[in-house]
Amino acid sequence: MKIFISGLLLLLTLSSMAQQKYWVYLKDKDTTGYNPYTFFDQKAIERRVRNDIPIYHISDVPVNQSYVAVLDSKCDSLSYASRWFNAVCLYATDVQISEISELDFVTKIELSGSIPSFCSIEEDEEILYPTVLSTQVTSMQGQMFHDAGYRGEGIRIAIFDGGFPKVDELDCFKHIRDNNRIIKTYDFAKKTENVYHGSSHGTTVLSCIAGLANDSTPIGLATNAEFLLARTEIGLEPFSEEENWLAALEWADKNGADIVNSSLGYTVHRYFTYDMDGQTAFVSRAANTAASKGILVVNAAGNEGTDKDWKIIGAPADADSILSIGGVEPYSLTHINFSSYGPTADGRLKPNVCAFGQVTAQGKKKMGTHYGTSFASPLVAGFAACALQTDRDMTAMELFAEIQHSASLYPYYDYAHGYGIPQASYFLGIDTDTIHSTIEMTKTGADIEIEVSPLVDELGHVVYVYVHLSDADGKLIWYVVLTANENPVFKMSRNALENGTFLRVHYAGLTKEFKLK
Amino acid sequence: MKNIFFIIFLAFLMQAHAQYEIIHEDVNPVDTVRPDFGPNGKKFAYSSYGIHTIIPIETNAQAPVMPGASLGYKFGFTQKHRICSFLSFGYNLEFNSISYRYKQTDDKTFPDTLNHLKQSVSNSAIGAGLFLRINFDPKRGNYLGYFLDMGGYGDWHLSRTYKTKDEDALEQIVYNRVTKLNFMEKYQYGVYASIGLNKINIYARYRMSDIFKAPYKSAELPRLSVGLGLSIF
Repeated sequence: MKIFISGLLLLLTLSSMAQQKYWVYLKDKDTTGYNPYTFFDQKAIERRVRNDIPIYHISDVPVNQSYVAVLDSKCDSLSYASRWFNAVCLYATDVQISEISELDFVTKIELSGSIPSFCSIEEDEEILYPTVLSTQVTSMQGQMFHDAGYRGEGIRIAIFDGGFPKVDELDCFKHIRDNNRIIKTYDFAKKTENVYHGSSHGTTVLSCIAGLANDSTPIGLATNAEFLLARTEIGLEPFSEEENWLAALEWADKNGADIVNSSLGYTVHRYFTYDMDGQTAFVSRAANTAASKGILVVNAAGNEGTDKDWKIIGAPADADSILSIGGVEPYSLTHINFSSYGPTADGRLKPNVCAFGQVTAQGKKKMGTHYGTSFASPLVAGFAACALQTDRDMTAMELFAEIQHSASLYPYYDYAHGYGIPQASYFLGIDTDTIHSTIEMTKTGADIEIEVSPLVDELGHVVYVYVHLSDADGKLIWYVVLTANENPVFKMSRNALENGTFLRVHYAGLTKEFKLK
Repeated sequence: MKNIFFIIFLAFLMQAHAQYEIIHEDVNPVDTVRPDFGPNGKKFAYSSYGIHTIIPIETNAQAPVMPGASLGYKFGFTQKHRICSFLSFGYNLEFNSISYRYKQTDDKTFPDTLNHLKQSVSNSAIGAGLFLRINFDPKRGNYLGYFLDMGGYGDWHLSRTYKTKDEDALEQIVYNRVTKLNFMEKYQYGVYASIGLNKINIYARYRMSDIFKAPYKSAELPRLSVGLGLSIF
C-alpha cells in the first residue's frame, strides 16, 4: 500500500511538473525599423492594395524581440511567435507559466495543443473512374475557363498539408516545375525548406488544383497558377502543432498568397460542438485574420458526415470568412455520405459550396481514386484562381461572395451542399442553356403540394428537387432532396408549417420561395 | 462498380416509388452548454474489455510459466469523474480471468516433477479498482483523449483451478481438473496502470499479494500482466 500511495504522490508531483504548450499574448509591439515594403513580397503588397487593406498595419509588425528573449529565458522552449496575434507559443511547466503570467507585458495566456485530421478518408490507387477525371472539372464548367484562357496565371496559391512527396519528380507536375511556379516551400514541422516527403496527401491535393494527367487532361483547373507549399502537419504525431497552421498562414501572407487551400479539420479531439461558432477555435480565428488580410482561405468541410456525435462543421471551416467546401457524389451530384454537414454552432450556413468528394487524382506513385472533402477543397481552390483571374480587382470577400453566387443551386442552399457546385459560366457572363422549368405550389385542403415541370431533362435524366423550410432569419428547420418522377413531387401537411417560415424549392436552375402565413 | 450498383439501385427505387428521398435532414440546434455526461463531461461510464498475458520478471525454474501461452481476458464497467481538465478519478468493476501455462522441463517441481502434455493453473475473479487519471491533452473536446491511469485493485477469486493433459499407457488422452485449490488465496490485490488513446488502451497490473500458500509458496505465480484494452461507448 505504501508503494501505491507513493506512486500516486509521485504521479501528482510529475503532473504538476509536466510541460504544457501555451499561447502567451503580449501587450504591444516595437515598430522601430519596420518597413512593409521590405518585409512583404511584392505580391502581398499588391494584394493589400487590391483589397483596400492598409499596407502599414500594426498586426503585420513582428513580435517584439525583447519580449521574446525574456519569455525564452523563463520557459522551457519557444515554438512560434505570431505577429497577427502578437503572441508567443511556448512550452512551460505550471511553475514557469505562473512566473510568466506575472510579467508586465503579458496580457493573456491560453492553453494550446490540438489534434487535427486530414479530411480524406481512403484512397484506392488501383481503381480508376475515367469519367470522374473529366467531370470533376466539367461539373464546375471548368472547360469554359480554359477555353477562355483562364488557368490561374499570376494567381498565387498556398497549400497547407502533411507533405508533398514526389511533387519534384512526377510528370503530373512537370509543367509547374518547368516554369518555376513553385515559388517557395517550407516544412513548418521540421523547420526546413524540403517539403517533398511525408504524407502524400499534399501531392494529391496539389494535383486537384493544378495537376495534368498523362494525356494532359487537367485534374484541377489552376494549371498555370503559382504555388507556395507548406508542410504544416505530421500525420501520425498525436499533438500536431496548430501553431504551424498559423505560422504557415502568416508565411503565405508575407509571400503574397492570394488563395490558401487547407484540407485539415479540427473536431472532437480539441473542441465541443458548441465551439464551432467561427470565433472560438484558434485556427478559425487565424483563418479569419487571413481573410482580413485579403486572402481567400478555402477549407475542406470535413468528413464527419456519418458521425452522429459530430453533426456539425469542423474548424476552421466554421469561420465566417472561410470558403468551406463540402463533397458531392460524382454521379448524382448530391451529398456524398461522409461530407460534414453544417451549419455552424450559431446557425450560419456551412459548407458554402461543394465539389466532387470522390476524385481521380495523382497519388504518390500513380493516378487513382481518392475520397474526401480534402479533394473537393482544392478543386474549388483551382476554380477560385481562375475566377480571380477573370477580374484581378476583385477583393477576397467579393470573390468569396461571387463563388457562392455562381453555384448551381444559388440562391437555394442547404447544410449538405451549401449553394451547390460553383459554375464558371457565371464569371464569364455566358448564358448556359438550362431547362425552362416551373415550380408551382398549390394548397389542397390541409396539404401543400409542389409540382415541377418538366419531370426529366432534355436527355431524359431525372432531375433532383431540393426543398427546405427556414425561419425568418434563414436558418433551416429541415431540408430534403428528392428525385422528381411524378407530380406532385412534394406534399406535406400545412399544420406542420409554422407561421413566418419560408418554404424554398429549387428545381433545374430555378428557385422559388413561398412565405407561409 | 459500386457506382453502377448505386445507379441500378436508384433506378429500382424510382420504379418502386414515385419520389425517392436522397436526403432528409432535420436540423437540430447544437447544445450550447457542456454536457454533464460524456467522455469529457463531469462524469462518464463505459464498458471495457481486454486481453492480457503475463510478463515474468523473475524466472522460476521450479514453476516455469510460459508468457506467450498464458493468456487472460477481462470485461467490466468503468465510471470516471472529472476533477479538472487534466485530472479525473474513477472506479471499475471487472470480471477477470487468466490461465498460467507451465513449461514442462526437467527442473519443474510444481506441483510434481511429472512432464505433462499441458499443465496450467487458472483463476477467474471479480474485482473492483480505483484509479486516478491524468489527461495529456487537457484542452480537448468531448473525447477521452490521451490519458494515464494509475490506481489499485482488489479481486475475489470465483474459481481456482489446476488442469493437466496427459497421455496414459494406452495412448489415450487423459484430462485432470482440480478445482477450489486450497493452496491458492481467495483474494488478491495490487496496483494498476493504463495508458490510453480514447477507446484503446494498454494496461498493466502488478499483483502485490501472494496467491500461493504453503506448500507451494515457492511456486508463486508471475505478478505482472499486460494487456490491450478496448472501451466501448
